[in-house]
Amino acid sequence: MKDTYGIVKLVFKLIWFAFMLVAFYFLFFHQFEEYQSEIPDRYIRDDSEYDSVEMSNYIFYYSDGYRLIPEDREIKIVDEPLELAGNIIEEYMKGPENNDLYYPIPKKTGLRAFFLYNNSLYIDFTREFNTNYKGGVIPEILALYGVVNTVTQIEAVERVKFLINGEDSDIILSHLYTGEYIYPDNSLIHRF
Amino acid sequence: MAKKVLTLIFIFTLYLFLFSFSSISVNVNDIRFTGKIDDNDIVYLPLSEICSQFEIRYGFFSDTGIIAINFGDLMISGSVGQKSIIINDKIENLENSPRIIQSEVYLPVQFFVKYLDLDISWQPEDFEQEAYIEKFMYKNTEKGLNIFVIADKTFSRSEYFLTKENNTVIISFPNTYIEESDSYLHYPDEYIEGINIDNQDDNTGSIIIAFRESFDIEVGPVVNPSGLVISVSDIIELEDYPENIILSETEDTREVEKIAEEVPGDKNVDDIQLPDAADLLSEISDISDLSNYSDELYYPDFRDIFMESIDDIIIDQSAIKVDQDSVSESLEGKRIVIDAGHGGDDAGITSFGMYEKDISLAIARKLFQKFHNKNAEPFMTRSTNSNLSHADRTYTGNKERADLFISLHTGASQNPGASGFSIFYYSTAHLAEMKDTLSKAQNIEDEAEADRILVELKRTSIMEESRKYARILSRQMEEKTGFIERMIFGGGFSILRDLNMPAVIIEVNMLTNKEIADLLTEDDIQEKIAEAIANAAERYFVAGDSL
Repeated sequence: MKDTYGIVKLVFKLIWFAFMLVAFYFLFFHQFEEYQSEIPDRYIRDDSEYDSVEMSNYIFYYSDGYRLIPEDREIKIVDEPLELAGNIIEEYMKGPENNDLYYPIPKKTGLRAFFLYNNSLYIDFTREFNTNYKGGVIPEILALYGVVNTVTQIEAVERVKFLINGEDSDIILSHLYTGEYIYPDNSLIHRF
Repeated sequence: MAKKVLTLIFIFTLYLFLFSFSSISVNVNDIRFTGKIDDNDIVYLPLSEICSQFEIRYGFFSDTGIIAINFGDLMISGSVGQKSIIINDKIENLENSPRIIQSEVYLPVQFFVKYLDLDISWQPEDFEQEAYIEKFMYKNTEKGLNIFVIADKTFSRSEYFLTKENNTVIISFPNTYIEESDSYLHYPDEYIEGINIDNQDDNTGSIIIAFRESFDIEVGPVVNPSGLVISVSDIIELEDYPENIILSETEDTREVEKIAEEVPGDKNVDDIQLPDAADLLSEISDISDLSNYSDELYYPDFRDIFMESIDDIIIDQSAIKVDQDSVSESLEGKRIVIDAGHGGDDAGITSFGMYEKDISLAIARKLFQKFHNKNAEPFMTRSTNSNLSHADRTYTGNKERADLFISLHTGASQNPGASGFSIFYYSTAHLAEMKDTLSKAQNIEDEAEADRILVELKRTSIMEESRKYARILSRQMEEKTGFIERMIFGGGFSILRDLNMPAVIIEVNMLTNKEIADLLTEDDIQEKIAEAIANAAERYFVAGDSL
């Protein structure tokens, strides 16, 4: 009886020890595998395949709270104007590199779509562009013209039409009429 | 012996394991700290780490459990496990007592916000779901009022953070977006003085509710509708609210009463029955069809009703007591429309508890009197807390055959220290189209096209006149108020584009600057702004000031 009890005790001790080993292993030594991409290689764009990636300086217009302030940024040059516009908008929406400048687009605004038609760039923002706008004419002007002055540096883009959630609206923020195209206006740029 | 060692190791491992799950990352003044959540979902922060980081003097006596903190002029002492703390000889109660966790002293987050003036926000990744607050609902109860914060999820106690200070309650929701809604503007006046919402950079949405009195307030989760409930208990018996009031349907009369008090003169404005133009407008299904170019396109019946209401307002305003000695005839016969920006449920810029709609209306009333003194014929698009569309405002300007249209606003800037005024006028900035129009003008065959070109030319003339007035106004504003000009800009402004007279929008200064916001509420500066605008009109019309 005593022997049986001793075996049972031993079995429990072994189970206990095994459990502790597993717990220690997972707590301190185990590295969980990172998610492995299963996208076939041919779909993954590798920039090194290209002989040279041509970059060019574009001026991005952000805000100092009063006016548009230029900031130089490098953009990958592509022949297709729409793709170039996409690169510029995507880079612009990362915000200014200079910490003293403000990103004029209302917070949490996302880009839904953009397309080029007849030298007009249509930019479709998410509804946060409207809902997160806090009021005031200057913030409104800087939000719209910051984008317009930046993207119209592309030769094929003369003017911009803003859409919100795919809809065309006469007034997308509060004061400016957006039922028509907006042309760039250099008078808003701060002259140093 | 081995068994004891193994048991101890197991307990230690389990201890570590459990605590790794009850930690939470909290940003204190944008610096990340690891806090702890207890069984009741109360978040605690380590005292020693925070005090070291922010150079706050503190001491902890482990034998007695006494905590002492010296922050600025404050001497704070408390004890582990005791809710009472002594602040400069005054006893105050914490909602949760300090605790010792892993030999470290932890205090509830409320303590750091309330007494050490630290900003707390949460690491968004600690929360699985991004929440979205839609609106408020208010329901009267036997004890007082229940405020339902309607969201797309139910907030557990660890998913919001409550701070009470005097009669103000601040509830912060990490990783939550609060929708701008009318329901924040329409609340039961008996209980609430004001509600502000703030969606901050770090994805934390905050609701700030200023109560009229020091009510007993309890906050807790609610499942149906999902969100949060703020229970306000009041001993005083109040009038019953109908059940399930959605306050966006109730009328906010406070602003009207406030404005009524501000009317100069000895006439009792409360007796005046001001017609509500907005109500009349709502009868028309499609207001956007209102054209301001041609009378033929107006809805004749509607126009009559609407203009009657405007006339009534003007008569009431004319009853304002005018100081006859100061009347000059410098602007005799000039019809000037004063448009107080925003109004009603459109508060415009809301900053530091002040509304753009109130400040613009206060200045508009003073400007009305200034023009009256100068023997002009002033008109106001609104004289109450009512919301008008751009079409309504333009309609008033064109119908009154005004010589000048002035729209009053306050400004805003992302830069909180920004100040200064800005003036805007309508400009046909689309030069490419203008060039097209002018080139076609050389060979006009189509009659409609000829009309369109004439309209464009008229617009150009109005644009030039508006710019001229804007420049005179800028000079007068700088002289009279000392404010700095920030911008004179011509663009496609919706309210100005269909006006047939020189017209400007003036943002008198930035409401986002605290000092300026306080200044703009003062009568003295409002008088100066009104004087600058009136003087500029005088120079524009009479002196023929050329700039």
